[in-house]
Amino acid sequence: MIEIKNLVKHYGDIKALNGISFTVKDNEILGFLGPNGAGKSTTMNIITGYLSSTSGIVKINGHDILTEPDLAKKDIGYLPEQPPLYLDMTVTEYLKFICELKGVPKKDHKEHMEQIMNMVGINLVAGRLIGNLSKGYKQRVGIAQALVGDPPILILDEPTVGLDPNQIIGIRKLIKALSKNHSIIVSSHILSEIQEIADRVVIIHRGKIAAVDTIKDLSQRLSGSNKLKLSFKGPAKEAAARLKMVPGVKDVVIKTASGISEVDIELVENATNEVRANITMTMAKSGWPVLEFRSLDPSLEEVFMSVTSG
Amino acid sequence: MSIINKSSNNAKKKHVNERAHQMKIYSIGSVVLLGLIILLINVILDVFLGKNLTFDFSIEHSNSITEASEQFLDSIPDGTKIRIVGLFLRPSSTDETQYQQYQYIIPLLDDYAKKGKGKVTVEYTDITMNPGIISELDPTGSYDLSSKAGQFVVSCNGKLNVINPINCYTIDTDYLAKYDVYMATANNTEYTFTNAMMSLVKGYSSKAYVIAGNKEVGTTQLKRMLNGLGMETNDLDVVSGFKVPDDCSLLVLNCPDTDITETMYVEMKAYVARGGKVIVAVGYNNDNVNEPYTNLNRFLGEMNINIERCMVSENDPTYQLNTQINDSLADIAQGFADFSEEKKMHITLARPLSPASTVNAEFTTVPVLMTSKKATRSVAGENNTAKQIEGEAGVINVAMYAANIETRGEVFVFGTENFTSDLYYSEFTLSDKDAGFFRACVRSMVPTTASYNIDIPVKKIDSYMLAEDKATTSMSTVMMIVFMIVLPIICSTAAVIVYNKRKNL
Amino acid sequence: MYAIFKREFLSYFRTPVGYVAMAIFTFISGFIFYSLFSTGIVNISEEIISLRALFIVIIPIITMGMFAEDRKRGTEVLYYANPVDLFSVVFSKFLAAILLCFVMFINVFIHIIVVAACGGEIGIGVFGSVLVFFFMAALFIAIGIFASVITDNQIISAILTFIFILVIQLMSMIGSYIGTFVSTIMAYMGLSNVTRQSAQSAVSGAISWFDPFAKTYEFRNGTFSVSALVFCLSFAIFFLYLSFRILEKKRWSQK
Repeated sequence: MIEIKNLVKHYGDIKALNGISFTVKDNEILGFLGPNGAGKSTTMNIITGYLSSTSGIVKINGHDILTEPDLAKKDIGYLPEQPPLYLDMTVTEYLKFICELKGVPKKDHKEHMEQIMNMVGINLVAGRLIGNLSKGYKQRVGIAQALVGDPPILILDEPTVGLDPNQIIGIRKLIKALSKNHSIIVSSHILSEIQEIADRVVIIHRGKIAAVDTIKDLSQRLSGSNKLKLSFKGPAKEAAARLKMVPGVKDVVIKTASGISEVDIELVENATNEVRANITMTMAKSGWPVLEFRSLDPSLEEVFMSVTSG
Repeated sequence: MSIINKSSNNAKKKHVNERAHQMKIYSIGSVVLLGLIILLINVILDVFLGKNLTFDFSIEHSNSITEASEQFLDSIPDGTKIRIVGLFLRPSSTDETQYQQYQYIIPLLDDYAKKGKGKVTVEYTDITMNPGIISELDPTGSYDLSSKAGQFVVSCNGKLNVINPINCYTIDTDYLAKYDVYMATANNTEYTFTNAMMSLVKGYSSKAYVIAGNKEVGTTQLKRMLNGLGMETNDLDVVSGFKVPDDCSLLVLNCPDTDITETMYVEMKAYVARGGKVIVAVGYNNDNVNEPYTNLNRFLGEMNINIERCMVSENDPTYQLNTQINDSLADIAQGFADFSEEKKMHITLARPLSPASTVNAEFTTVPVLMTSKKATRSVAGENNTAKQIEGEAGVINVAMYAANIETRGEVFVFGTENFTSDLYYSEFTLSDKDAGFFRACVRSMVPTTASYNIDIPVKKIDSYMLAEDKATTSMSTVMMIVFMIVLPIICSTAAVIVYNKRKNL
Repeated sequence: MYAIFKREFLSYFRTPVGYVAMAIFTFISGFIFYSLFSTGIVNISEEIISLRALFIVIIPIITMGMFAEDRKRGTEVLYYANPVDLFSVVFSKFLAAILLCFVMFINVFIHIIVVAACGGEIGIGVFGSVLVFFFMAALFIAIGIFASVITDNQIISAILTFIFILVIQLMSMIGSYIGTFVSTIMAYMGLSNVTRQSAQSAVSGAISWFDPFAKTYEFRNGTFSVSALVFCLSFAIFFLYLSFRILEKKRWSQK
């Protein structure tokens, strides 16, 4: 359980954080969303005790990070944006060091390390030098480091950045699995990623909380501004004109006109699936084969526009 | 509008910055506090307790004065002011070559000041910067202090004693001759300073003259012994009209390699005739093997003593040192047994002393040191070998004493250089038994109060010499190969192996 | 604390740095030893004292990366975000560097054994010199750590340490120069020679008071001064504490 109340952090005249409050319940994954520079890392650094806040309270399982840092830190596993890896050590050496640092009893080291390495999927590279590992493996070693000592709270700053899609799926699965008995904060600047794993989302923008929502609510909020992408064989202009006629379509923008045509279709708010059905019907009737038809992810900026305006 | 906003912002900022501000105060405060505490502790330790918390663990206690000096300092009346002035600015370290000669002196003087209960003060001053110190110490200008920069002045009761730091050491004369490098073998600093203070406090009781000009060996140690006995020492030059001064209490002829002149013979004979005391030492060495010492033997003949032109071969192994026939022990004759706690003295390359051909009944002549019954005579042969001279083995005298009861003229003659020469003491130091015996000889002739000589053991300076059979050229080549080549290569190889092994992990 | 100490110490031997430093130290001490040995007179104190001149090169190499590298690589988070005291982090790294010095010094112990075997003199002065060597190493390492904390560039940290040690080595000389300078100024002001001289001694004395080399000089002769050791140790602790405070500052600093 993490309680954060009215967190403020100043850097000179710049307010990196300006009154952030939220709580993370036990065994919950909290998505921490915001564009680069919004204050995600600063918040996480404050929660883990790396930085101290200008004002505000952080309580980890009831222990204040400022007054009882040792008790509070004991419950946290932290993966910072840049994984804290010693490149001149092998994975085993490194994890052993972390075990010692976190005070894992010596007799448990081997078992504990094996368990973590299996969980994260780095048992095959256990004997290799961290400096020689790929970015994905380095990231996983970073996660393994956070898991050492079995802390009930995990704070992962952009855990999937720089990974390939397979690895991303692996990490997501891992986080999901961990959430059974951990409270987890995951930060990201990619909405879909957070949507995938988080139970709740905190959106932070310019040091302030823009929204705290469950994923469901957020999806609903966001579905209203859905955009669709359509590519097909046929004349772009004509198609655009016809599609505009479909009820529920607000606007059609032509992206590519030669060869395979591409158009972006904007629907009216609260458009039902009926509208999409009508679009495909229209295309089929006109004899223009549809090659691709999908929803466009809203950009973060759009999300913020949406949440801040809504 | 914006101005109002800004000021309210500032007020708010002040409030929210309180936590950081407190931490800053605490942080800076704790550093400053710790710094002050550390400075305070160091100052207290250094200024008030520094000397009490300094322990001299060296075996020779080179930097601490001995009990004898402490007793002397206790014995002198309160209110006596002994002032020791180093005529240079005190160096903070004696690491640099120019200051190395003070290595044992400066810390010992500190110890004098510490244990002197205020009777001894030590100061350092530069005479070019502070010329006033010269007239302050030496108002009559009789000590030529302006040329004594770098030396020490001990001053008490208006009298001075100038001490050259080089005289605080016994120099290895062999090493000096060989490498032209001064290597100290012993440290006489305490001996020199304590006896200098003693002579200033009590005043010298008598004067000894040491004859210079007959190719004598060094006389530094001899003079130091005499000073220690409360005697002022002066050189008596042979060249400029030899005359024994009236205030002469003791005349020393220290191992001359050439014979004395006719004038000297006449003067010395007259001196003994008027009750003079003379010590003569003549050894057997490469430079004087052919010297018959005609005039010297004429002089000694008056006292029934003759120095022979050969050397003593000690054939009794129990008397030999290092199984050498010319480096051995000699028995002390009965009448002189109380001169030393030891039964035997150390003699090296000694000349036999025999009774003169004509007997002068005015003098009673007795042996002082004698060889074993198996001793024979030999001369130097080729390649440093000894060539035996035909003759029966028997006891040979190597030191003799003659006295005229009426005139009170007395003479000690030593057939060896061991009792007076720098060469011997540079190896065996003034703590040697021969030095003790020599002092006893001097004391027996010259009335000095017993308390005059403060017997301070000379402190040895570690020689750091390796065993000769180990410090060979081939051994040092082995050292070079092992420590400069093999070990560094092992380390470098380890570096390469580790690098290559881990690089590809 | 032991974990950090162990990691830090082993890190010297996971890269070639430790071995290369040892190779250099072995070679130079071997050279000094050999040149003494070839004369037949070996005073190990002399070797140890000469080796102290290497501090100015070796200590910056040992300490330059200690915190600068952690900060650059982001590994310092481990110390901030785990339940370890930052002072114990500083102290562990300090101990690791001292142990490295000790490992390099094993060489000199071998020399000592060789000298003893060859009938040379190993007196209390040698013990004193060894003692001083490590107390001084402690002081300089603490200064090196301080330099490593105040910058995140290894090279700047090494240069700073170099300058610090250089100043300390020349402390007495600097003191006497400043003393002479003061005295010269006073001569222009027309003050008497006696005043000038006392001022010169006071100034140069006050500056040289901070010279650990002068303070520990007599150890080589077997005269041990507690205050000199306390001086080295207490200033080492001061620099370590200062480093700790600067690291801690990162938490609350608003810059």
